[in-house]
Amino acid sequence: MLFTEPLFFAFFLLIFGLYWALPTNRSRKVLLLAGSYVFYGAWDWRFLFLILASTSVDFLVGLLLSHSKPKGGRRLWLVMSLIANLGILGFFKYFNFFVASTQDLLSLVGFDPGLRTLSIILPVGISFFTFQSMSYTIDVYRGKLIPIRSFLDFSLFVAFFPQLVAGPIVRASSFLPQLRQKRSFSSVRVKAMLFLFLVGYVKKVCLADNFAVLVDQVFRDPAIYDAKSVWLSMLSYTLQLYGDFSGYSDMAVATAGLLGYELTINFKHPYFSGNLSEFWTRWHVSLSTWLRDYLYIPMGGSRGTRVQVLRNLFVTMILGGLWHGAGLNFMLYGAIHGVGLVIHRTHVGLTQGIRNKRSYRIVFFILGPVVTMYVFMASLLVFRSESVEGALYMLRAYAFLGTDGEASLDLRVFLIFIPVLIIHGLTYRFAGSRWVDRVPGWLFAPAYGFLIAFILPFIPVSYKPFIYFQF
Amino acid sequence: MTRGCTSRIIRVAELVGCKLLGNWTTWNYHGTGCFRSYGLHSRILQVNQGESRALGHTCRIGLLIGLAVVGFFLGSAAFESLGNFSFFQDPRIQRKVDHFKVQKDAYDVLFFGSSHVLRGIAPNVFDREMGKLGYPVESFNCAFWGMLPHEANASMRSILSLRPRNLKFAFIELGWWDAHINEKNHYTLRTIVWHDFEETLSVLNSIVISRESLLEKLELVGLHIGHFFARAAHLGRGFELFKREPSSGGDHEMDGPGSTFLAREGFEPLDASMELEGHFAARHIEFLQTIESQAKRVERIETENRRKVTAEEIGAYNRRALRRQKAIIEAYGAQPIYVIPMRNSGSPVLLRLGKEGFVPVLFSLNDPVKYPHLHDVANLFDADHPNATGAARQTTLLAQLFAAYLSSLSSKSEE
Repeated sequence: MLFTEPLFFAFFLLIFGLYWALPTNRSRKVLLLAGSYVFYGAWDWRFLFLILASTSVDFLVGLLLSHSKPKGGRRLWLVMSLIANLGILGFFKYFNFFVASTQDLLSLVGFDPGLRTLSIILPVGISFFTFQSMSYTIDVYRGKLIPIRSFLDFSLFVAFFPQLVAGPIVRASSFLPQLRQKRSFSSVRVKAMLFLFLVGYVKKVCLADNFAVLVDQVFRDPAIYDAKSVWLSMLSYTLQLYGDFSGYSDMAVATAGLLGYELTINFKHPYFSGNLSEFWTRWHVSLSTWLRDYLYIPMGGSRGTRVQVLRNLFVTMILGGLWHGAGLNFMLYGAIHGVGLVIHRTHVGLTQGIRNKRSYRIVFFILGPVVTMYVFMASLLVFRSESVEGALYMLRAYAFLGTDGEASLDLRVFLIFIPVLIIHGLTYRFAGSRWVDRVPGWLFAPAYGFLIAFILPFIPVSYKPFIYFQF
Repeated sequence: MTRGCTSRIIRVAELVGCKLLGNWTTWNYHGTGCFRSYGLHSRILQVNQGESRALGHTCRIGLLIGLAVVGFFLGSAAFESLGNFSFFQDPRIQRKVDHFKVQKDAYDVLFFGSSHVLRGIAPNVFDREMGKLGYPVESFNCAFWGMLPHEANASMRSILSLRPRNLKFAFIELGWWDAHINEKNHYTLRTIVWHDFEETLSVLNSIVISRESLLEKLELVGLHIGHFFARAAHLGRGFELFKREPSSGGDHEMDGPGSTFLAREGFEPLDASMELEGHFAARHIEFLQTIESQAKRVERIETENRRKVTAEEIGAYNRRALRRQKAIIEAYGAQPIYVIPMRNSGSPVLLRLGKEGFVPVLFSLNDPVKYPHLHDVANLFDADHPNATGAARQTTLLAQLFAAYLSSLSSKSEE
């Protein structure tokens, strides 16, 4: 069940109507939990056991942590929770990758251990809910969170359908308190949420899905295309990924908002970032802050020697890359960002004395976003490529404009980027304003219907699942 | 009880009226504001405050949804006015239709149907044969590949709406009004566009009377209603606003020089001598590989054609759609003639319908006993379609049968 499918609209209308009609907070939460399991089970009901296992383990560990003596016992419970969560993730997501890699590696030295991969179906959104669930036990262990005693609340925190399959990764400390009180419809910003949903919908179906056609065409067989077409496809993929993922996040935030819950904003106009470090505070914010709080800081963070700090950054980004999936391309994606961040941090250290100079600020005001996007696009090329040969060919075209291919795409597609950039800029400028709330209902409703009538025709009729579901 | 109901209705009406007259943006549900100003204050105070709030919410939501729907239809109408959206999505089909638009008054006979007609009826051969038999006609093949009866019917309506002035006979491939859509064609533009109100209603009827399970029926109903709404919402047609006119060049890869499908009056033969690619080549190769099974296939068709048809099978046939199709053709001043072309399966239900008079005029060419030559491997491209020679022989046969029919008509009128 995708957010863009008619089936989801029917499902959500039913949940929405029943939710606000139910009199008690508890009955509403039961409804949401049942709905969330139906939503998740719609992909494959067998995955429900997985989510239930993850939920039960972390709920139990949370309770045990509160009853255990400091140090030894507590640590043991935490380790058990991490083993359970990472075990599930490792088996479903990384088992085949490690088996195949080991087999390849040993084959290189002339030894065939006969390792075989298994036919494992990757459960949708597994990386999201295991990370979310894990953050709870870590926070309880650290004493930052009082363990919850309601299994219903905890299950809903893990399985809440708006963010279950592709984030944002919600923190227990921000979500669980919201479950304690009965939500009031009068406090829901209905118009703002409906508008946000529409924005997300447009990003996904009008922007991402249309660009996907062009992107798929080139990435399938890049060697036949000239450098301009490669550039066009890479720019298109940059927009496709943003539209797809941030569109999903917008719809998730809006859907939760219509039920009275607030989720983390996951994207803050990342393509206007002045450097890679800033980029990661704007792109997939819930993941980057998760990595920062549960990986980078425990590794030492910005403490220690310069080399240690750079190492921490690099390792965090490599693991962040691997979070996306088991593959060399994802590791390389992380590595590119790791190197980028290391360079940026070194650069910051070296330019301390001149950073406040006007000429420096002007140069980097212009150069910063360009270089950031250039590096990000190079990382996306690795991220998306279907083969090493294809990636190398495209990298050559991307960096040196050198290609052997002669096929060319219609370059008028470049014109589409102009209105997209203008709209993106306008939304950046007016982000956070509450103008939608001020539009009267009698004007908002027909205008909304009118807008939908103009949006639906731009949906490509071919089906495209969300990219981040695979993670 | 009646009194309770009445007072409830009055309360709702009061609330709605108040909201409509009052300030839309700052509705409140506390029996103040506009109620007081309209002298209804005393009555509203008697209403349970919670109930009135709930009613107010419901009214408000209902009205806003209504406004959104109005906005949607206005937007949809505005979008429709922006472009000239074609019924036919495939550029090749569009070219054929464009050609027909210009030449439509030259034709008095049209052929409609699937690839069995498209690949199996050659208008040039038909016209020549009819001329020889004393009935000169000008015909055009309007059939398209992969068209099942519902889609073919919608496209036929679209073509007839161009009002070919001299049209006398519409030959239609008689088939089963199948509601299934191949999964790979779900929500493609070609499938969406034929789901207008009339055809969706007809396909829903096909589903209701079909012998599918309830679950299957529900699934099919959902699928077709989804397509209907997709059509109403102009799904996937936005970029047509920016498209240039379809180019008239770029002939099909199978057209040899000087022998385009337009020169053949819409007929598209399948021939091994042509440059075949994709599924055409695969089907031809598969046929060649199983050529020794042709006798068995023919035997199976014969057996199927002889099979007794049950009343349930007849009941599951969408006869209403057939009647409607006949009425549409007649409304355009033409006569419907039904054909069962050569194919790789028997048609017992269709033959029975013909025998029982549900089909006004039916020529069944898919009869290996009467017309064995049409199933001869020398005349076939694959198990389901004739090659160019087979198509010529099938067309000649059809012309002879049709001429005999016309002759019987004239002798009847003389009597």
